[in-house]
Amino acid sequence: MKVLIADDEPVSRRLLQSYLQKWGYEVVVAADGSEAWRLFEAGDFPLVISDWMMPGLDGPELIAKIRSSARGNYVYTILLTARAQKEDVVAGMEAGADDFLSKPFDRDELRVRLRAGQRIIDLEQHLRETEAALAEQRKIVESLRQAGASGREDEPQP
Amino acid sequence: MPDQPRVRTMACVGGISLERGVPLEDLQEYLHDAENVLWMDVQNPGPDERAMLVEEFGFHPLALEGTAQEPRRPKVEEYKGYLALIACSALPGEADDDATLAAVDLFIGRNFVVTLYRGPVPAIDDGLARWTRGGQTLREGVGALIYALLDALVDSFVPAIDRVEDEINEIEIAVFTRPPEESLRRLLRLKRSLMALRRVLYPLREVFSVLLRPDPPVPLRGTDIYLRKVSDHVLRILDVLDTEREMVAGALEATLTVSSNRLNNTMKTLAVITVAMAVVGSVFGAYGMNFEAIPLEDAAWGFWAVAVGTIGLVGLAVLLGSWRRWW
Repeated sequence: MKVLIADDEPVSRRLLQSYLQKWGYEVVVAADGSEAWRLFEAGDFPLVISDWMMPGLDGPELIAKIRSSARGNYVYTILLTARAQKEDVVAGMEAGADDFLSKPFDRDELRVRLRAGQRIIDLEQHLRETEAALAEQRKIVESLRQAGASGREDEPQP
Repeated sequence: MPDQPRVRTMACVGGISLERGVPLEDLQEYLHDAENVLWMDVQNPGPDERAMLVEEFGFHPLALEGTAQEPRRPKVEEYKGYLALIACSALPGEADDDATLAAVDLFIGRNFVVTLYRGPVPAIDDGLARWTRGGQTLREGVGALIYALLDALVDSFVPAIDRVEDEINEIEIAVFTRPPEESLRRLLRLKRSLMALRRVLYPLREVFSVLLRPDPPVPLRGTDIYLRKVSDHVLRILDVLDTEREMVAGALEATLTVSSNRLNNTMKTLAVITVAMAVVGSVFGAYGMNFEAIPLEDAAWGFWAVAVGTIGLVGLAVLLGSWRRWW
């Protein structure tokens, strides 16, 4: 799974990158919010981890932009920040973040939260595929019904 | 069967992430970066664990000798590259229990702390929880971990001291209602507990004075202010201990006074009985003498009149005295 990491702090960025790569994620890093947005537009990232305070676009702004972009698939976002007050958690979630972790974060906690995010993405993907299959089936049924109706019209009247 | 050794490790990497269960083979990698802080907790250390500590951290075998044993006088010793600090924790107990203490050895380096102790010491887990919840203070390096551990160890004495105070208050009331032997036994036990607590808390002041000196032996960064708070807490606890010692001394004095009063009352009662018997005895003694003429000698009811009269009058006087509280 591709993950976009946006953090202006090099140590934090490097650490996150090494953890996620160790856990089998494909990682792309951005040094600020604007770069993260450019990378997000250019690529396909179902999971985004963003720092709160960054030059250019900050974390909540980046997440708000991601939410407003007309992407087909759902993007799971985690806000990672040094802020730990309840009101910060609320503000972060209000901005559209799915999860919130305060620094210093627990490595194992990050791992399980990522796994939870991955489950949601997989479920959403599965739901979309099922919906697409259902739409396909509906189309087939519709075309069969139309074929049946036109066949009845062609039959000679007694 | 001796308790099984248990080694736990936790690292704060760059003040950004916390990693539990650092593999022993990676220790040096973590210790290499000064921005990382490593905590190793060794419960019930055996020869293998001590050898591992000598190998991984370069501790002097003499510094490890006697660690995690009986509670010892807290002190701090400086070795090359690390400090060996002896601290103590009070273990949780029931209301009437003696204060139970456990020795905790801390080895503190520029970016690591190793804790050694025997048996479960809840204050260590409390300290770890405080450290991991420290938020931004974790960026202050090893000082944040030292603060969290020492704060938890010092705080562990508070319930023990509260228990002593509650028991003193209870005894102060019981002194007048219960047998003095029971109060004395409890007070002497409390005195022993207070002495034991004082013995381990008093030297902690010196430990803090070493940690908080102008050129601290370990990099404290901005955490010296927190350690000062813990040091103040130790002084406050010592003040409370002094007050409690005075309370115990006062209760002991009250118990002995009450006991002495009770003895006085018994002696008074015995003295009254003795006087009463002496009066009766002297009247009967006088009638037993060989005088020519003794009053009522010839009367048939004479003996009964003297006996009943004497005993009745003395008995009446004793009852009147008791009623009017003459003694």
